[in-house]
Amino acid sequence: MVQQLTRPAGWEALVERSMRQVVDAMPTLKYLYFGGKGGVGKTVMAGAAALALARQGRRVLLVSTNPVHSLSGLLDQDVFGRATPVAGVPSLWAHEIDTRETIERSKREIKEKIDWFLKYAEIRTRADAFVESATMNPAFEESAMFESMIDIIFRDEYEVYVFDTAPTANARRLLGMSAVYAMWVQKMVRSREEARSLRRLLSYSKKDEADPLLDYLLRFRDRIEAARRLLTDSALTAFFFVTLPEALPIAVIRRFISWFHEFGIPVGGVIVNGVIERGLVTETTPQFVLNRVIAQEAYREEIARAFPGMVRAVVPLFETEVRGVPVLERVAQVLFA
Amino acid sequence: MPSPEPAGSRLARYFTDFPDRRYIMFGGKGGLGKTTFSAATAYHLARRGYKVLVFSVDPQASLSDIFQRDIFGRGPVEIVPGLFAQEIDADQRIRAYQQEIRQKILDMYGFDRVPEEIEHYIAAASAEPAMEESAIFDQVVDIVVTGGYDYFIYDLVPLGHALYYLSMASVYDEWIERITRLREEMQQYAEMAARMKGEQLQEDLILAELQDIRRRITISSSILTDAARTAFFFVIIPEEMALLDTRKAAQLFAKFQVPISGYIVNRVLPETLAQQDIPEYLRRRLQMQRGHLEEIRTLFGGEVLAYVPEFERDVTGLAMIERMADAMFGGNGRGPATD
Repeated sequence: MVQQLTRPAGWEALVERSMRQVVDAMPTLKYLYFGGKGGVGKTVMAGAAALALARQGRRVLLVSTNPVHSLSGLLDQDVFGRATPVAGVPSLWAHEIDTRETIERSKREIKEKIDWFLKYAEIRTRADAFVESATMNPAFEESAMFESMIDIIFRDEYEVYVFDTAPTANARRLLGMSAVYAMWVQKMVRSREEARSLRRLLSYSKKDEADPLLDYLLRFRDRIEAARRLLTDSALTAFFFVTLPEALPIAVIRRFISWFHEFGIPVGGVIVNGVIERGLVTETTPQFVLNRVIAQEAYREEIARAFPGMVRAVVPLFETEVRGVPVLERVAQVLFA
Repeated sequence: MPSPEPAGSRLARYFTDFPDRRYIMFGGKGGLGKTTFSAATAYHLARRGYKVLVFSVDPQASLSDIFQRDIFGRGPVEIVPGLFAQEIDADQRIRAYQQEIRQKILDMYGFDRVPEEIEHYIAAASAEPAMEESAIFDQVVDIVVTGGYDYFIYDLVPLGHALYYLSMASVYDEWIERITRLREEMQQYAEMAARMKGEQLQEDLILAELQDIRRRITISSSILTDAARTAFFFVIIPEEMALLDTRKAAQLFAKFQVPISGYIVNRVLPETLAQQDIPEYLRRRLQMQRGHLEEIRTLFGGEVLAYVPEFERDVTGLAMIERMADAMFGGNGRGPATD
């Protein structure tokens, strides 16, 4: 038997503007990100939001950028490596990004460019060592994930994108970087142009030759810049942070939110997950449950102080694990109550 | 039912059986309680008279929140006698590194201020995605090489990034090896040239510096993958999705040759609740948990070192950390209140 779920009593006061109100007020909203500490239910919330938006008849892509994916587990079907239609939900697709392809492609591209450059500079060395050191750094996969995400966005095949993001500060760093990247590329471009004009001066033929390295740098700069524009546009993008009524997840998103403000990334609001209903407590409820409820209520006050006017939904602790579309439907109902 | 022995006793025995394993790590997916376990283990060892450092390499570190004291970027802070906690501030480290570069430039060229061009380069270099990891890694190497504690407890970043971190040592090592070889070749040429000119060659400071870095990294990385000195515990919880992820994760760790010392199962609901008047959500979770515990025993049976009960509230502050330490290691056996 499935109990009908409502917002947990006593918590409604936290929600001044609900998820539904915020999303309805932003008809152009296209990129929704869900972030927060590990274990707070980001994947579930991202899944529920994607489902709710798909039920409105929009073409939605649900994307996981986690190094360890859990979308396939959530939906109970394999969505690794490509956009896969979600069974039973027309107009919803899900995709766990496979960075291996991106990494291999990047390695190939880098190798081609270095090969070309070495030939251009008349250096007789094999490019392999350079390629290895360029692609073996630990942040490479992270960058590849970001690249893949941008690719998906730029292909622009869907009306709405919902991202289940890694529980790290990488998003902020990668976005913060784009400004610096642009500056760096600008410099590279200038010095390449100088080298090129010098070469033209010295060569007999005076004909313009192609410069794949320069083209690449310019393309890269434009891509990063375009991505930054999208991600900092509050008409298109919103970051939602998921927390539990507990100290650690609250502390983590408090930090995140201040970083995001720093970079001008629009914060859509906070979702409180895993709340135990006060109404479930009776005369004979054991101390164990009662203590949990009391602890949660103390954190309710803290959430009210830390995120004033930012709470969009309070989602109760479900009686089962959330797996598969039917249970996800119920989460979506509460999230968009 | 969990193992018939009292909860946590196997984990306590692990520490007495392997006294040489002084580098302790808890790994696994995010949000399963790694930081809590790190803090409680540090507390337990300190209370047994050891000098312990628990440090966090997670940019969104939570040790401050667990100990309810702001220790971020303040170096090792003594929380209770013998228990030191440290949260690494990568940004601070990067800023210090930038300052070092500036100073070198000023000293070398006798400028009174760093030219704008160079400032831009310094800024660009620091925004490299690898920079934060490098800064953290460097600090970890510092901590480990400096020593001075009986136990070092690493609070690792969530899984994917822990893997980067673990792979970093070999990456660095390879990079330095390449550079060092190059420098050595150059030095041979330089020596030849110097001999031909009949001059004395100065000692190559850069080469010496590189070799020093290499020595430090070798110490740190050899510890990470040395089963004789490192204990790596994998944290799991009895939930289906978490188990799916754990299987994936265990394969990844095997790839990096990280020796797993055993599993710790967190958030086990006390079975005694089943006989009481509990809400439906709890009853169902108990039912599901039985199945998942069965699965855990099938998968990791003999390697489970502790079943840690779910508490009635989150673990923050010393009183709760003490209860967690008791639950993990036996202690005085005060588990969660279930009556």
